[in-house]
Amino acid sequence: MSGVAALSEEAHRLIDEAENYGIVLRAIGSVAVRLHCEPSSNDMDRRDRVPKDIDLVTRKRDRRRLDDFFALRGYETDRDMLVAMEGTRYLFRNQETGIDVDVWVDELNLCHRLDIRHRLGAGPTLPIEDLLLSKLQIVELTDGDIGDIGCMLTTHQLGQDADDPEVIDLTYLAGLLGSDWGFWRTATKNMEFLLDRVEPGARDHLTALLAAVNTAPKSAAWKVRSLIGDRKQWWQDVDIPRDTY
Amino acid sequence: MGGSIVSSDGNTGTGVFSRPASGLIRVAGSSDVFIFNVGLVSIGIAIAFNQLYGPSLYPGSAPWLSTLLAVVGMLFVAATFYAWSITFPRSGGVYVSLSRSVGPGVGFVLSLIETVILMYYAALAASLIVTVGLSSFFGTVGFMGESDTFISWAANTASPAGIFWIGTGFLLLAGVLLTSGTRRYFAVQKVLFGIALAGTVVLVAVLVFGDPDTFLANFTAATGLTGDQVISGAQDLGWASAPFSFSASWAFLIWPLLPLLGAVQSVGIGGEIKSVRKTQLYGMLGAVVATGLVIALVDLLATRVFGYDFQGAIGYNSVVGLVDPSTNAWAFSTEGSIGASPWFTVLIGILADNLLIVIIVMATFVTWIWFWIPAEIAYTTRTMIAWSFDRIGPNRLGDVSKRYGTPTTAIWISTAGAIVFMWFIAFQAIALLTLIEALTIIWGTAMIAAVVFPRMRKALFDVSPASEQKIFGMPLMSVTGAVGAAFLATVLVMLWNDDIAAGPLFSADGVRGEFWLLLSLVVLGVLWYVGVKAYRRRQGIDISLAFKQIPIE
Repeated sequence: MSGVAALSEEAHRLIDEAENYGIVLRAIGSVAVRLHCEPSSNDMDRRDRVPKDIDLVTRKRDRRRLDDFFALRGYETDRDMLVAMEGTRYLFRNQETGIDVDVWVDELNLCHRLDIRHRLGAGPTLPIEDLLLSKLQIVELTDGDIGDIGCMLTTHQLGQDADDPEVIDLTYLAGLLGSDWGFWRTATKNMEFLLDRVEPGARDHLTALLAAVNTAPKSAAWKVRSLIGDRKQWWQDVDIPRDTY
Repeated sequence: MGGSIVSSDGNTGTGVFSRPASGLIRVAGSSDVFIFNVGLVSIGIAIAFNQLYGPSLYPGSAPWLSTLLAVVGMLFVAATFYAWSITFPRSGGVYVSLSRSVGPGVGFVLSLIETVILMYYAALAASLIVTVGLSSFFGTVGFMGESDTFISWAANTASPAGIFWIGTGFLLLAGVLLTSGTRRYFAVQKVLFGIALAGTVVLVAVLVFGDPDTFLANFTAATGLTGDQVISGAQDLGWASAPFSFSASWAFLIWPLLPLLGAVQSVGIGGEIKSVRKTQLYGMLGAVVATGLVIALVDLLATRVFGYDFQGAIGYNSVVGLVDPSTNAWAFSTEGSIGASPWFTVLIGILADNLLIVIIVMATFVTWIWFWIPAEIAYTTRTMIAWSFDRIGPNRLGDVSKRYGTPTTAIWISTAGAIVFMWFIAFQAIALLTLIEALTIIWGTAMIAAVVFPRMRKALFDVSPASEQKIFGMPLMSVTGAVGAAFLATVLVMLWNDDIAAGPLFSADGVRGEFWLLLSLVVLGVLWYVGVKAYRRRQGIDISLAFKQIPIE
């Protein structure tokens, strides 16, 4: 079994067992892309696109029991991350398997903030729109990120149906990016950058997505921030993980 | 998950990057760190000390000059702590740099003493909120509204019980704020900083547009005293005016230095700072310069409006009345009429003679002084967690509340320690600056360690960003460390020989209580460290391994 397949299996196990434990966990990141894009999973495995860890999200109300849940499954809590992030993010490490599990609480806070409090529905992963946004918010994309975005766009249709997990809901995406100029700037910049770097099928979807996002109505805050434009940094710097203490 | 971090190979040349691991958003940005340090300077405390104690107890001193001299010395101290901060970008204050340069035992013992001292200063700030802030406020409003009730409140709040209970309330509030999370703490500080800044602009405007005649007329209306009566009363008690004197200004330097020491304390939260090289540079050196200039400016303006001799005389009467009430000195100060000491806040309230401005000025001072409290507790909390993570302290010190997600054990031990000192400040007399003597030794050790670090720990230094900074071919941190050490040694001698500010910890005449406290901490620290080392060894843990790691940046 390839690295990515092993991680996907472990992520699935954790999410299922958490459900029984009374905790909501959903996958994001590359493992989630593999879980959500089943048709491409063989391709991902073949490329051996090895994610470095499992990324999960949870609700604030569930964080009290996270330690115990992961401890029972052989994971140790990273105390440094625990103190440094003050309950907004956890890192669990399984010394036996070498697997690291990052757990975000309520929001994904990286180059841009992605509020996921109301997006923890059914299924092992966050909805496809959030998986896509979690990649489009990255200021400096890696090959792996590009592959993941291409994979999502190839295996999903664009539409307006929020309830269909196989359709990327343009209304949600355009609405969210229409309220946050910084996020919009990074996402559209990435989409333009990717046009020449993804397969034709994905390129068509990317073009349509870009058009939908650009033509959607914008909030007052978006318009005010747009007046400043690129003169002020529009994303948060993400530091290299190192010990806080 | 992705962020904008890049690995050493960085950009692949195609606009595509490589990334070593999931990124991390740290809590403190540039403005947070600048506010943290500026708040720890506490412009309010500096102005209050300068104007009350400068002309009165150091006649001939120019507090603006003393402040700027302190700024020059502190720039070298700040530059050295900056170098430590980028060499070891971790939270934990001097403990981190000393434990990883000199040795863990020395680092632990000195940081234990520093922690206790900073708990004391958190309590001192809480006491100053009560005396300089609230008591002055009630007194000034009392005289403006001719309200005996407010005037009695001014006296009651400044009583030992008033200082203890209200001060304790502020300490608890700081504990609660930190328990609610560092992000919230920084957000609240940012709002308060805006308020303090706006209030300071109002304060400066009142001084710029105020004139001496108006002030003296208002003062007479409020207290029944004329300016000449205040001055002659002080002269009868032994005060004498003096022309400008550089030596007096130099001697007074230790007073504005006390608040300015706070400008480097973001070294205590180094691990939580974004883009640490840029942020700490502006945060530390920027705070020293910016606050120094504001404090000096206010002194120049205050001297123009209130008059140098008047400030000196009324301050002297206040201090003498406090030391020896039988002299009746308070009859020639504000205590005798409006119940509050003649802090700068009271004088500015009399000058403005406007309730709204009085409220704004008092709120400004309370806010400036408040900054000290949670920041000192945050600093000591980080030191305790660092001990815990290095396995020198109990594991529980690093525990995080499942409910709040914050290190509540360390936060509330720090808060409780400050409350103990609050009791000593309120009910027992502790000389204000005596413990600074110990702090100069601790920080001076960090300065000396910086001098020898590039040679003694060459491998660590060579991979540090500090190795890129040189002057005349020498490591900059060694040069600033040498000057910083010389400055702090000078300050120690000045404090030791200045009975007004501090005085000797021990002499032929006797040994002070503060000395026994410090000695107890040294003994406790040494015994603890030796005991823990042996205990961990029995557990199969070599705690020295934690101090041999190479810094990432």
